[in-house]
Amino acid sequence: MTHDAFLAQLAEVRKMFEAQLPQRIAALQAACEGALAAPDDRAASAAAGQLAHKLAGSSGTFGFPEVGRVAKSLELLFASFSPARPEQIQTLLTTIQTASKLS
Amino acid sequence: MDNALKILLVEDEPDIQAIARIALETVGGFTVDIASCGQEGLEKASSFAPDLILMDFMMPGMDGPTTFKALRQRPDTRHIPVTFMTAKVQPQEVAYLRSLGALGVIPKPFDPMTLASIVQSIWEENRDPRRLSGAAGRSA
Repeated sequence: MTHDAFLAQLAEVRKMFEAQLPQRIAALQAACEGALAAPDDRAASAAAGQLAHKLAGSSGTFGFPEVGRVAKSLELLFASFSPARPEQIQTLLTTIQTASKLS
Repeated sequence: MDNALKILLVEDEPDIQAIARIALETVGGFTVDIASCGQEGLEKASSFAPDLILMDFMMPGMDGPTTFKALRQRPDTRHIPVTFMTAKVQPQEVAYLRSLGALGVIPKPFDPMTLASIVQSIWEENRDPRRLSGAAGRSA
């Protein structure tokens, strides 16, 4: 396989990731809102943290490093018990929406 | 490619599976098989008999560390080196994976252009008997 063919394959999988990104962010947003609505529900926080973790691990590989960075911040917030957590989570959700439109 | 390094990727995310396969097969020339969960990873570790396993940390059902421990309990898979690919790269998280006996930790996100060379480097280091004693603590 030529280098150009390899780059074309990479571009194709990146395109697929980009197409799915809005749904993944919407799922993350819903999970975050669910966790914020039930602050004592550890399972809800864990679910939001896992979605953030997955997005943090993949976004940079597909050309969305800022989405990955914000997702990592969300993951760490869900692992913590900061009193400022709700406001920070809302801010990060807004940021990740913006970042997803930039690659 | 009969002598190509055989790599089993245990990873639940289809997009990561796809891009890692392209990177490992095309750039590295490796022979790659994929398992989508820990249980499938155990089965393919036996049937595919890889030289090296690349393992995600967080997977539904059996997570990476649990799968790793199960591999170590089976006579036919206990010798297969495992490198974790994970976004869990806080120092305490890496230290935990090292304590399990992981050969290395490749941080996510990874660069598909350099993934194969990182894996090759980890493999060659593992094959060097002078470094075997420290291999479990290697970080990529």
